Formats: sequence, structure tokens, C-alpha cells
Amino acid sequence: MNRIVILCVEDEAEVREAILRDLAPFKPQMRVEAAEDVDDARAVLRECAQDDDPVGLVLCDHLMPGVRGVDFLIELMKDPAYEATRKVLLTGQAGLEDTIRAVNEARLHHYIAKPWRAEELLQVVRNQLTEYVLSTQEDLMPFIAQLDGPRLLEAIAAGKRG
Amino acid sequence: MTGERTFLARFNEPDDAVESRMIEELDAVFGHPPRQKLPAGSILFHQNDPLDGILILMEGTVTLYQVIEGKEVVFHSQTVGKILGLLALTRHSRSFFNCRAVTPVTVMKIGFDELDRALQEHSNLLVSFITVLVRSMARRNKRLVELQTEILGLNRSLGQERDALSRTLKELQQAQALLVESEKMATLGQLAAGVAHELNNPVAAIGRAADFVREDLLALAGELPDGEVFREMLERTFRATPFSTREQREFRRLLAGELGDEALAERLVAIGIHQPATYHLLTENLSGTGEETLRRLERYHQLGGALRNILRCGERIAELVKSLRSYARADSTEGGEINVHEGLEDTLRLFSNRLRDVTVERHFGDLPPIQAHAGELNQVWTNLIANALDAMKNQGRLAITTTRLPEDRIAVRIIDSGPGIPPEHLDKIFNLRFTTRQGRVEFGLGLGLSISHNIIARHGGAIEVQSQPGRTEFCVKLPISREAAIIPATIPESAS
Repeated sequence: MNRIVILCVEDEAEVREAILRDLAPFKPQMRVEAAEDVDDARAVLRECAQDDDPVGLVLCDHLMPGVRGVDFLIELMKDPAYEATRKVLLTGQAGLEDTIRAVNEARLHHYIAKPWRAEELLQVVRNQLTEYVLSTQEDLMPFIAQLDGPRLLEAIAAGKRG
Repeated sequence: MTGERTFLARFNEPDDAVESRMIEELDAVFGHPPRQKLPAGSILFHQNDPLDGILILMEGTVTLYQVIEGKEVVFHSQTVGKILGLLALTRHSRSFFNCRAVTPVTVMKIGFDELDRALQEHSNLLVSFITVLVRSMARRNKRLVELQTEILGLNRSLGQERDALSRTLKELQQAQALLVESEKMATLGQLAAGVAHELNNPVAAIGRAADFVREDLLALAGELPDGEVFREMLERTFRATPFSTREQREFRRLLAGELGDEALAERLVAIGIHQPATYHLLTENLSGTGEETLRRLERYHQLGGALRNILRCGERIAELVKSLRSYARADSTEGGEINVHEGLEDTLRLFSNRLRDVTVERHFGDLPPIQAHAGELNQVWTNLIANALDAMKNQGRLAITTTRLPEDRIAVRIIDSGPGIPPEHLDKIFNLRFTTRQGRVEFGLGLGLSISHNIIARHGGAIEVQSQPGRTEFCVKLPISREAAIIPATIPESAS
């Protein structure tokens, strides 16, 4: 079965390691990938596409060398392949203007300010992935244990899928 | 009326001839009326006095004036003419002006009624009288035109004075803005120095705590069976530079191919094992089961990585704190010997979040310490670097070059690859420019540069700019020793 990808884009190695450690509970059911800049993130997207693994969530820093996080999210929004992908900014440095662009042009789903707390990050990722599977997956059962179980069960009971 | 003495013919006669003839004719008609002599300073009549006749000025001079807002305003002195009370003739017999004798005067009075009768009966007199009257009026009219011209001139000089005043006011406002900005910088500097100082203790404690945890963990691991392997894993991760995400994916792909197990490859690469041989060597030499060993290795890898990150981040904070302290030290030291390169490095470090996409090139020459105010110079570097980054929109090349010049001077050049400054702005770039918009004072490039200009001038140095698209250079030249006393701040002329 193909795994849903969580992609974390963060340029600072120490911060990236901390985020990956926080995301460890989603492994190995989800494919957790990391990229240190937007070019690298595009490479990850290509690899995932080759493996037919759908990208469920992009967790992105804003201020990075090269392309900025918000611009990457906008780029994703314009690609139909990533329309359902949940988009989250995890940053300490996006100004008001960039954040507004992220909301309006990338339909940003969530904004987490640095420094983040592990529970908050996990909660946001769990909720966003729940939304993602609800809108894209036929079979919700495999996600009940790891994502928002009650919501998924409700959806199954409502007879939509399951 | 006699033929040769027509009214128009008299226009060519000089004034005094016409006036003498009128007096002769008046004398003839009225039988030489009595002359009245009055000393200088006498008031002949007041404004609005009812007059019952005119006065003919035979000798001396008078002045016609009005009192406006408590002040005497002279309307006629040279232009009075011979007939006084002239306007009263047309104005219900009330005088229009005050009339005062400037010198002793001799006047002759003729009542309106008798004048009226005489003018009806004696056409000669009528002609002379009207001629004198018209000429008086003409002179007075001319005088009014002159007065009007004088008023225009006065208005013009008033306008010039008003402009000068508003220029001065603008300069004062600019001087005040400079002072406020300097004051703000000084306060911020003190705050920054205070905060930086307070940060030192926690940062030091974090670093030490991480060291302690590492020592204890290494000791604990030593007590485990196969402890050496775990100690090595912790230490290796602690000292290693992590691979890039690209490299990790590549290793993962290769290892997965060799092991035929993607999940295992991912876990191994995550703990820094890239060769199947290393993994086999590990598992063969360890007593526990494969999964148990792998989990323990992962723990030690994570511990080593976390400790490394704590220390590395602590060091970064400590460096920032150090830069902030030496940057802000500024205001406490009044002109010691300073190392220009340190100030530049401190400033660059504080700009690090804007330098991610900027290639910084340092071409530092061999510079002696210079006598200067460290904090003020830092402010100059800050302004120049901030402007360069603004111009480049935080992307491009920033070159900083320092050189020793002849005659005990040094030069610091800050060169950016931005679009350049339009030539028409170059010569006034150090001038103060600020505009008030919606009641708020907005500062552009001008304030930072004019503050820098002032600071450099106080240090006996100079700042120059050269700009073309793709290369803008600000060159600061400073003397190595500051013989001269501190020169008070000067405000460059405003660009109007």
C-alpha cells in the first residue's frame, strides 16, 4: 500500500531534526520526508510521485535561502496534483504580508509559530491529515488508530466510506 | 472766456506758473484776502473736521496723513499741491486727511460759497482753478500708484522672509528628528546591552548542563553490555556534521537496494549507517537481538544529536549575545582604540537573518586599531549595510573591503549588487529627506545616511558614494588617530 507523505521543509539542521523527532509517532505508517530548501522539496515531491505516494501534508518554514516557504506553498496550490495537500506554515519569521499571501493565495490551512510545542504540532498534523484522508481516501479504517479516530468513525458510520 | 486762455492750452504751462496765475486771479476776485501765518507743527485741520472752505498754501510745506491703528500714515507730502481741503469739496465738506505744517506756512482761506460764486462769474478763475485742481489730483493719483508699488515690494520681501522662516523651521524639525533618532538608538543600545548581559548566564548554564548530561550518559552507557558500541554511537553523532537531506535520501535509496528492506534502510541511514557491512558488523558483534539493538542505537543516536543541537544552538545564542554586547558597548566607551573588523563582523552577525540569500565577500586588509567611538561606527556600518540589503532586496552580493590609506587613514568600502542610485539623487543622498504624511514623519534613506554622515564628520572622516546599476559603493574614510576634539554634530543642508 502506498504511504501518505508528510513533507517537512526547514533549512536549519537543528530545527529540522527536532521537527522530525516530533513527527516520529506518524512513522512508519506515514512516509516522513525532510527537505532543507525548496529545490530539495521539489526533488522529494518528484520521488514521491515516482513511488505513487500521495503528499498529505507540507509543513514549511518561511525564511529560507532561495525560494521562500510561502512562495513554495503558492506554487503547490497551483498544481492540481497537490490541491488536496494540507499546507501548514511553521515559522517564526513570516511577516503579516507574507502570511496574508499564504492564506489568500496558497489557502494556508494552519500557521504554527516558532517556538512550537510538541503536543501542538502533533495535534495540528493529526487534524490536518484527518482532513486529508477524509477528502481523498476510500478506506478510512487504517487511519483510525493514528489520526482523529472519532471523526473518522463518524464518517464511516454516516456511510460515506469505510 | 478769452480765446487764447483755453483750458487745454494751459496744459503745457509749468505748475508754478499756473498756480501763480490762480493766486493772482483769486487776489483780483477776492480783493487780496488776508494771509494767515502758522508755525511748523500746527495742525491746519483734522480728519473728518467739517470744512467750510479751502486753504491755498502760499508758502511752506504741509503733510496729509491719516491715523491708522494708532499710527500716522503719510499719504502726501511732496504731492500736496497748493489747494488744501481739496477732497472736502467732493465729500460733504469733511476733511479726508489730517493736515500738519512741516515748516512755517502761509495760507489763504476762501469759503466754499464765495468760491462757488466767483467760479461762476469769472471764467478765467474757473479755468485756472480747475487746471490746478486737475494737476493736484493727477499728482496725488500718481502718488497712489507709487504707494501701491511700494506695497507690492513690501509684500515681496514679506514673502521672502516667510520662506526663509519656513526653511529655518524645516531645518529645526530635521535637527530634532536627528536628535530623537540618536536618542532612540542610544536607548536601544542600552537595552540591548542589558538584555545581552542577562542572557549570558542562562546560555552558559545550558552549555554546561549539556556537557554534564553527555558525561553522565557516557558513564551510564559504559555500564551496559556492549556499552562501547553505544558510547561510540553517541559520541559519533555528537561530533558529526549531519548529512544533508539530499545525501540522506541517496544513502537510503542505495542501502534499500542492497538490503532489500526499505524500512530498515531508512532507520539505518537515520542513525548514520550507510553501509550494509557496518550494519552486519554491528549486529554480529552485539549480544542482543537485532531489533532491540537497533532501538538502543537509535536512542543513543538521538541523544547524541540532541546534545549536539543543544550545544550548537547555545553557541549560536552566545555568539549573538557577544555581538550584541560589543555592538551596543558603543555608548559606554567614549572613543577608545577599536578594531574596525570586529565592528563589521558584529554588525554582519546581527544581520544574519537578512543575509541568507546574500553572498558576503570580505576583503579585509591589514588595519591598525583606530581611535573612534565603537558604537557610533557600528551605527554607520548598520545603516550602510541595511541600505545595501534594502537596495538588493536581501538577494545578491555584498562586498566589504578594508584598506589602509596613506597619511594614516583607513577606508571601508561597502559594495552592493543592487540596482544602483539614480545619478540625480547621488549628490543629495546624504541630505536629510523626510516627509510628513498623514501627520506621521516618514524617514527614507536620508535619515540613516545623514546620521552616518554626521558621525563620520565628527570622527574627522569622509563618506563618498559611487553608483551604477549592479554596483553601488559607499566608501568611508577615517583617520587612524583622532587628534581633533569631537566636532559638534552638523546638519547637512536640506534638499529643497
